[in-house]
Amino acid sequence: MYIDIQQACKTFQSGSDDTIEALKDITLSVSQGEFISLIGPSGCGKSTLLKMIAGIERPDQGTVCFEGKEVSDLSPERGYIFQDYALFPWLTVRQNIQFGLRHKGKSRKEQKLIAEEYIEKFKLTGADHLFPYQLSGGMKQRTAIARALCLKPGLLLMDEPFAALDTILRYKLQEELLRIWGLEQVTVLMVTHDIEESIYLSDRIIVMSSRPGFVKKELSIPLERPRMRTEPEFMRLREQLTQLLREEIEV
Amino acid sequence: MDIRQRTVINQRSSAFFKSKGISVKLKRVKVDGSVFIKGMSVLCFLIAWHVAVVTDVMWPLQFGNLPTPVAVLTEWVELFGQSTYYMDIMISSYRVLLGIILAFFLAVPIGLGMGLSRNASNLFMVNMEMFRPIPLIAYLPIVMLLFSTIESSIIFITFLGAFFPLLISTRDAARRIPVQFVHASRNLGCSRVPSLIRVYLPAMAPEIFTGFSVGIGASWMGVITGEMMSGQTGIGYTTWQAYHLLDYSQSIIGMFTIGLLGSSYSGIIRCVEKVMIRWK
Ligand SMILES: Nc1ncnc2c1ncn2[C@@H]1O[C@H](COP(=O)(O)OP(=O)(O)O)[C@@H](O)[C@H]1O
Ligand SMILES: [Mg+2]
Repeated sequence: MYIDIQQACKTFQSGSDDTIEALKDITLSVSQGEFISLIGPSGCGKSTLLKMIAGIERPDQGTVCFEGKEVSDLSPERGYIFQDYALFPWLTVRQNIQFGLRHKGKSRKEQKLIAEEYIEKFKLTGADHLFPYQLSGGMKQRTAIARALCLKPGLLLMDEPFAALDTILRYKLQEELLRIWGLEQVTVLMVTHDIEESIYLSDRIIVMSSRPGFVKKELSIPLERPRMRTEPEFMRLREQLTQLLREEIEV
Repeated sequence: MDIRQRTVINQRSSAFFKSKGISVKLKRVKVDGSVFIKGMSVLCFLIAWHVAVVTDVMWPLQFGNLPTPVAVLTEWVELFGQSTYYMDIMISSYRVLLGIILAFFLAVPIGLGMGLSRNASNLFMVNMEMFRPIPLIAYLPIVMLLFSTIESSIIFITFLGAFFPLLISTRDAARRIPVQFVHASRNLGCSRVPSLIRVYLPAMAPEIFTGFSVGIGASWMGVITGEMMSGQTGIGYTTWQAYHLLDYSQSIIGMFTIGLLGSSYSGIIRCVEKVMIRWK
């Protein structure tokens, strides 16, 4: 298995003797090349699970393995797109994209070439000399994804990447993400709270329960791409997922 | 898409961004009478001074003892032709520059350490809190004993003036670095030591500059104090010496020179900051 999570638990200390059980017995496998969405009520531990796979958080119990090895630290192998993108504000778009290449032992010339390639691929030409504060939300996100992907990670982890965007832009960037996914052959694990988005994009949807989070249901999406948001099977899946989530919120 | 088409699009979009960039950078220059008001206020000050001297006001303050602004200005203009005046300025400026450079290279690493490590913070904290509130002038006697030359003791005082503001601002900046920058940097393969230069330092730069502005002010006060108390050269020394020689115009010129230099140093720091920090 590409990602293999076995009975992972995570409890946070909140205050001196109060604890929050965020994740309980998470067991989850992901194969290479899959597009997975994590969906669940807010506070159920989606971000925590994603951070555990990235290596930002460690499980208290259980194991998180990536390509057969236990995850112990952050690594460029597992690109992580932060919820607010975490672009370095003192670097331009180009410099942000180029940031990690130096540590991959690339020569200056190679670094430049790769950065140029990704600037073009992500349609950032002309904006390459701008600083993050001068960018729109969509451009920031493309820069963040380009910055991670130019290091050729096998896995792309994204925490609610489209949450802050308006509907039209969201649709556009979803298309973009699918295009990149097809182009780069990465495995994508994305947290979302948008049911429609998860159906539109994913091969498989992981529905999590409310706190403490565990895997409530896994749902394969058998629809052909490109998908239509109005086709009957799409609507049926949406209904089913809405029902599953409603149960969690009402509990 | 063929190449020609693409370059057209590139040109168009870069033109778009350039125009956007310019509109961001363009500053509105206000000439709506503010220059006039500023000029008038300086003029009023000079006239009030002149009148107070000429009419020999002796109460509540003894303005009658002062030279008139015209006398001061004439002497100042004469001074502009003399190399000693520039020498004084150069010497004092050199002392400040040296002090602040020393302070930078000491305060930034220590401040970074204190901000990132609790142990380092505890190590320096008590000593720091003891020495920091001491006014620079109160260091002078002991500094004179410690250093073999007056020059080095004056430079030490200017160093101290810049050291504490820089230390505090660096420490606080290091504590405030958003954790996602650190995570992002590691996620991009940059390990801890290179990230000090590539992430921590630039993230802290705006606050370090604030420390610089405060520090250079304190340094300037330090150098003047040192020169007045113990120096044989420098603008502070000349200003104090003039008083003893009853050359009051010279004292006033010294005062104004010190003030003007102080504000031009802050101006220089602000300019450097603007050039280096274009990302705000
Ligand atoms: N560093 C932390 N310290 C304490 N509690 C935390 C921390 N991170 C997350 N939590 C708690 O764990 C739970 C799950 O958080 P999170 O993974 O962010 O949920 P989600 O992303 O699904 O909204 C929440 O109740 C949150 O308050
Ligand atoms: Mg979250």
